[in-house]
Amino acid sequence: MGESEPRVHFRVIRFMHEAGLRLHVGSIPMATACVVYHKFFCDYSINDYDPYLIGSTALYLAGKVEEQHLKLRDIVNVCYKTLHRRKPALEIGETFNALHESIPSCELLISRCLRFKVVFVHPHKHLLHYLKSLESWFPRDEWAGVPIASTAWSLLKDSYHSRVCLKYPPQHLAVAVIYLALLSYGREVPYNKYADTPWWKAFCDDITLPIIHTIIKDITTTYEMEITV
Amino acid sequence: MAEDSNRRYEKIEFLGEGQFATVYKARDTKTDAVVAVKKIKVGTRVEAADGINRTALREIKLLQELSHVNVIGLLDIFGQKSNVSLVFDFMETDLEIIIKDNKIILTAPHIKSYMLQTLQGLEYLHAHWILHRDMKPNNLLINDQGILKIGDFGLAKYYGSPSRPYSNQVVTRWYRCPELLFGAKQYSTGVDIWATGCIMAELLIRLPFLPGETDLDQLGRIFQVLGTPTEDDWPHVKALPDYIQFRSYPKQPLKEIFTAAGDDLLEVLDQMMALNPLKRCTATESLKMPYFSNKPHPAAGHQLPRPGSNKIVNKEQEARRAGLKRKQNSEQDRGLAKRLMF
Repeated sequence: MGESEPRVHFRVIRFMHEAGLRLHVGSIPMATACVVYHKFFCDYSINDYDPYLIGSTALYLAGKVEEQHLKLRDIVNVCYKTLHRRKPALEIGETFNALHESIPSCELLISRCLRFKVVFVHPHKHLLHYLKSLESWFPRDEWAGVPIASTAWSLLKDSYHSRVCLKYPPQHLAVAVIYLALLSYGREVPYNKYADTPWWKAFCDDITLPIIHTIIKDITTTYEMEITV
Repeated sequence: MAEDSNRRYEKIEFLGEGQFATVYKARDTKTDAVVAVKKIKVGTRVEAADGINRTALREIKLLQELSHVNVIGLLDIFGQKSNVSLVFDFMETDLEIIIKDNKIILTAPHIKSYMLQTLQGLEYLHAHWILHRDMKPNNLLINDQGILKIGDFGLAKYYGSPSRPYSNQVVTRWYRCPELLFGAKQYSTGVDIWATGCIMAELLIRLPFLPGETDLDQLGRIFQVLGTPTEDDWPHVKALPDYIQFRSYPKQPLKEIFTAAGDDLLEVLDQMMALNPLKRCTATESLKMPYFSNKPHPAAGHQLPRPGSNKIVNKEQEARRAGLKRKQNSEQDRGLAKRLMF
């Protein structure tokens, strides 16, 4: 394969998000699916397993873990159609049956490879609380006028295209996406420069500015990839 | 990896079969401990095609995060071919067997010990935002040290997320609380507390307290004993989805039903079986009630009865056994032989 591994993963995660959107997968099961996918390929080579099968199975498994059950039949149909945009929709037949059987066995394989550790804490709930606190700290007009919150959410969602979700604690990631969102719109948290404790420290005790910068660099690298993939 | 686990556990004997799983007693060759291996059934073709059993996954997911002396310990998980097997602490018996064994006499200290252990386990679960949703004597497992552990997390779920409707088709009927029977889709720790109240009553009378034959009959039995709820003691009860107006029964004094029970015990039972879930006590509250600090003290683990033995191992015998090591061993051997026959 001529393509670098991170680029393959980027494409597969993009495919998972697309399929997930069509399947109405919520943001938490989606995040779980991505973590499952990345964890799997931390330990196993991309040359040994079809990343799209792993990705589709990760969606299926995440649905079970997060109690948002997805029908296997829907996963097969939607994932197939997402992957083969120009081909006609899948009919019941050999290909359908083959996929329908391979996802459950792949699910068992992934679970075993992860030693059945499929519960993850995501940055989402932290991000929600941090944004709620900032909202009441900002002047109302300013907060309503600039999409800080929705940008932070999008940044978080996009961050799953790479392995940042495995590298940093969820609280740190939540702070970093807010920091980046504020930076993108050239906003500052009111009175932050006069404060003894900067806002990120108030949210998360053990975070520092260098950590935030490292995470942001990681996240922006993913966007550079987007242009070329 | 999986192959290693398969060889790691040596099957000793078949223990039982449930709806979703077959359970074996096995020896962990690595630690020499006796464990229970729960092999999740592949089930019908439809289920097999569906992949990992959802009930099993739920159990795996929750139990991996938990560690408490009164909650069953999940020691290992392994897969082979299309099976998943869970490895648990080996538990000698369960509370249903104890209750049904008419050779066993349950004394006040025994009952207090079982209740204390159950509620401590439940308090831990609730503190970690987990509803068990299937509390019944059969799921309260007891090991050879007399330690009770809450088991079977196949219906358990995280609670506290108000946006999600929950299924009301949980908890075995006899232990199901009135709000579930009235179709509530949002409920809380009260469902487990009610069931625990039913278990406490069952320990006293040695028979299921409210053995309803249908959901409707279940409600009827509850109200005949505890009185039909009114808007006063349970506001908005009529707004529940499956609410039905029942004949108005008066509440019977618990003292007349449980003649042998002390007032402090009946106070706990009364609080746990409040019809209005908001008035029901929590596990933490129940543990603070006088019953648990009053005399008699709860029986220590080794004083608790064991099934299949027609005598209760009392303190004196235990002391004598401790003094005579050889005798203790021989008694244990006999106990073991009996269990194997059983």
